[in-house]
Amino acid sequence: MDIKSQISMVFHLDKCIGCHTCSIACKNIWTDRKGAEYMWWNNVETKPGTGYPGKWEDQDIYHGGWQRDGSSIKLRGAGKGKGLANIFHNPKLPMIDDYYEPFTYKYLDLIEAPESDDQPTARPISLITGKPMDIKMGPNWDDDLSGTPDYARNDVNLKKLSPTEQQAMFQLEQMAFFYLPRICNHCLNPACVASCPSGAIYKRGEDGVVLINQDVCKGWRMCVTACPYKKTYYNWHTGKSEKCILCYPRIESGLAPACMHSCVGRIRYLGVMLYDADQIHSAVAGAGSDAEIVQRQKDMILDPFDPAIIQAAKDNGIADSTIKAAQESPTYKFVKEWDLALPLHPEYGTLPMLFYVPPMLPVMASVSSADNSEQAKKMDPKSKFWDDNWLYDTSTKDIFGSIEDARFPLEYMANLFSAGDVGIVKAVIKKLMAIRIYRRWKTVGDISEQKAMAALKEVNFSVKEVEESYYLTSLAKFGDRFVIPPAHREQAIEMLEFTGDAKGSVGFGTKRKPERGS
Amino acid sequence: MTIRFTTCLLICGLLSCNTVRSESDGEALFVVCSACHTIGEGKRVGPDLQGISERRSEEWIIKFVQNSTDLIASGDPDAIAVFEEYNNMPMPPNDLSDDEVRSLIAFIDSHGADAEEGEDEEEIEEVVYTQEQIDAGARLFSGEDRLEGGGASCISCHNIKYDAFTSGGGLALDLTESYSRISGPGIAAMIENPQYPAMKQAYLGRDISDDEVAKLTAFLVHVDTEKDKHEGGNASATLLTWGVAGFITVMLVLGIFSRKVKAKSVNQAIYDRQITST
Repeated sequence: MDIKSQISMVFHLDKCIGCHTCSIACKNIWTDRKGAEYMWWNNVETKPGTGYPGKWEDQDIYHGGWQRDGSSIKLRGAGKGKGLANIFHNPKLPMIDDYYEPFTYKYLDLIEAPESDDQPTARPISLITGKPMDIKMGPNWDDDLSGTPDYARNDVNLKKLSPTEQQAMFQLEQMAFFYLPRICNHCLNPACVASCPSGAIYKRGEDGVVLINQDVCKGWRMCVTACPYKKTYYNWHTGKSEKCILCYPRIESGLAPACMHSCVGRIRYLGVMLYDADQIHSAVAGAGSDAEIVQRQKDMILDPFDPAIIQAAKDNGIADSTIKAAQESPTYKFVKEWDLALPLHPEYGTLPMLFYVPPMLPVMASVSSADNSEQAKKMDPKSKFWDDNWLYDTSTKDIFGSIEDARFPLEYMANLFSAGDVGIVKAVIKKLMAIRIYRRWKTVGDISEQKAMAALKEVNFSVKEVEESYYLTSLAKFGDRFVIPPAHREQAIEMLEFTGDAKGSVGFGTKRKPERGS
Repeated sequence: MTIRFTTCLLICGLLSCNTVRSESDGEALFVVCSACHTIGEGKRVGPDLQGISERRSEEWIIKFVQNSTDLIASGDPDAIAVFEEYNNMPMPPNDLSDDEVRSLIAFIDSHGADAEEGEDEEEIEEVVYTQEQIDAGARLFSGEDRLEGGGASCISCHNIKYDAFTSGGGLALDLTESYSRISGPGIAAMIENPQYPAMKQAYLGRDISDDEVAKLTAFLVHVDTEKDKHEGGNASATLLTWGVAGFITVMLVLGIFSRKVKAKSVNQAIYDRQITST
C-alpha cells in the first residue's frame, strides 16, 4: 500500500446558476496575458451542448485519454511510439476555431470618430492578429441555448440515446438544461503527464496538483491531445503549454482557489482524500467495463479514520495535519461516505479527482399538456398575459415515480457521470431525492413522516447522514466547504537543503521568472 | 565693342589652348584603350586602331567611343559589323567629352605614323604558363588566396566551369570561354585595367598586381583550353534541380503523414452558414 494525499474537489451541480463568476475570477488572476486570452482554465458549459472546445468529449475527433489494451492501458492519441511518429505535426490538436478566436473591441473609435451622420461603432478586433474580425464563437457561445440544432443536439453524450429519448429531452420549450463547470481534474492517472515528451508535467507529491514546469516545457503539445478534458492549453505567445494550477499559491497559504472562493452558488467543495497509489494502474487496466472504473476509483480512496490507514499514511510521510484535514474533508463525505458525487467521464481512464453531484432538478419534473384557461382568466388582461398550455409537473404520486419517466433521460446523465451505467446515476439521484423528501417533511410538512422515513430507508440513509448532507449542501460555511491542509513547506525545503544553513530564508526552486507574455 | 573683342580673344585663346593640349591628352587617355586595342600591332580584344580616322568619320568615332551599345541599338551598319566581328562583345561606354575623343584620334593618327618604323618587332608571342601559375591563379580566382590589393575575388561575381569550384557569382560574365573571346593579352589587359563600370568601381584603389594578373590569366587560359574536361562550376543549376526534387519529396511525405490531420474546426459548418461578410 502506497498512501498518498490528494486535494480533491466536489461540484454540486444542482446549485450552479451558470453565472461564470468562477471563470472570470480565474481569468483575471491567471489568463489575461498575451497568448492566454483564449484559455479558460475554468469554464462553465451548458449541457446538453457541445462545450468548450467544441465537442471535446468526442474522442473519435480528439483522441484524448486512455484505452484499455489487454491487461494494460495505453494513451489513445499520444504516448511514446505515437508521440514520436507525430511529434512534428500532432494531427489531432484542437484548432483556435474549436476554442474561439479571442477578441476585444476598438473602443477608442467611439470617442475619436469624426462627427458624421452615422453612429460610431466599436469594431471587434482579434487579440491574435490585431485585425478587425468577424466574431464566430466565444467560450460560452451556446450558453443557455438548450435544444438548439447547432449545439445541444450535437452533444456527444446524446450519441447513444435513441431518437425518441433525444426528442424527449428537448420538449418544454427546449429548456431542459443544466450547467457543467469544469476545471482541471488533477487526475490520479493523468494522461497529460504520461504524454509529455519533455517530462515537463508532474503531479505534486504532497497534494497531487498537476503542474507544467514552464522552464522545461518545449511546446510539443502532446498534453493538449492527450488530456481528454482538453484542460491543457498551448500559449502561442510563450510557446509553452499551460493549465489550471488549482491556485496552488493560494492553497499553500490556506486560501481556497479563486474559482471556488468566488463561487456565488457555493457549489464547490475542496478537501484532502487519502488514496492507495499502488492501485492506480489496476483500477483502469483491471476494470471489466468502463463503468466498473467508477467503483474501482472509489475503492482506491481510503478511510482516514481507520487506524491502520492512519499508521500507513504516517509511515509514508503524510503529516498529521493532512490526515486530520482528510478526516474533515467535505469531498470525502460526498464521494465516499454518502456516495453522492461521481467523476465526469470516468471512461477516459484518467481517474479524475473532481467529482460532481449530478443535478436532480431536470429529472424531477415531467411535462404534460394542460388547460390553463381558468388560470388565465384570473390574470389582469392588460398587464399580464398567460397562454401557456402545458404543465411543468413536479408533483409525485409515488416516491420515486418520476425518476423512471424523467424528461431528462437518465441515460444522458449516465453517459456523463458513470460511463453509461444508468444504475450508478440512478442510485445517486434517488439519494438526492430522499434528502429532499425528508427536508420537505421537516420544513413544509405536506409529506408525512412515514413517507419521508420510507424514502430514507429505501436508499439506506440514516437521519444523521441526511442532516449532515443537508447541512453541507445548503448551510455550510466557508471553513466547512474548504478544508485545506497546511502546506508544510518546511518539509519540502528540508528535502533540498539543511535549513540550518539558510536560516530565515524561505522558498526553493527556480529563481528565474519563466518567460511569459509582456 | 570692347566686350566683343575680349570675347573674341577668349575664344581664340581657348581654341588654341585646346589644340595644344590635345595630343598629349590623347596619349594619357589611350592607356585605357590599350587594354583592348593596339595601334598598328594587330587585333587584340578589339580591332587595331591604326588609320581609324581614314576608315570612319570623326562624328561616328565620337559616338561609338562614348557609347557603342547605343550606336549598335540605333542600327548603324558599321557599328553592328564591328560588334559581330568581335564576338558580340560590346565596347564599354566611356565618359569622355567630344574634345577628349578628338584628342584621342589625334594621338592615334600621330602615333600610327611613328610606329610604322618598328612595327614588326613586337610580335605577339604565345606564352606558355606553368602549372604553378595556373594553380596559384585558381586560388586567387576562388578567393582561397586573397588579392594583394584587397579587391574581391573573381568568383564573387563571375562563374567559371571548373571542377574544383562550386558555382561562382551570377552578377557578371561567365569566364569559361574568355580566352576564345579575347585572347591571353586581352584577358591580362582586362584584369589589369578593368573597363566595365561595375568592375572598374569594384577595383578602384584596389589594384591587382602584375604577378596576380599573370596568374589569373594563366588560370583563365587553362580553363578555356581544357573546358571540355570539366563539368563542374555549374552547381547553381544542380542545386536548383535537387532543391525542387527534394521539396516535392518532402511535400509528398508530409502529405502522406498529414492525411489524418484534423483539418477544420468542428464548428466549421456553423461558421460557413452564419458568417456572410468577407
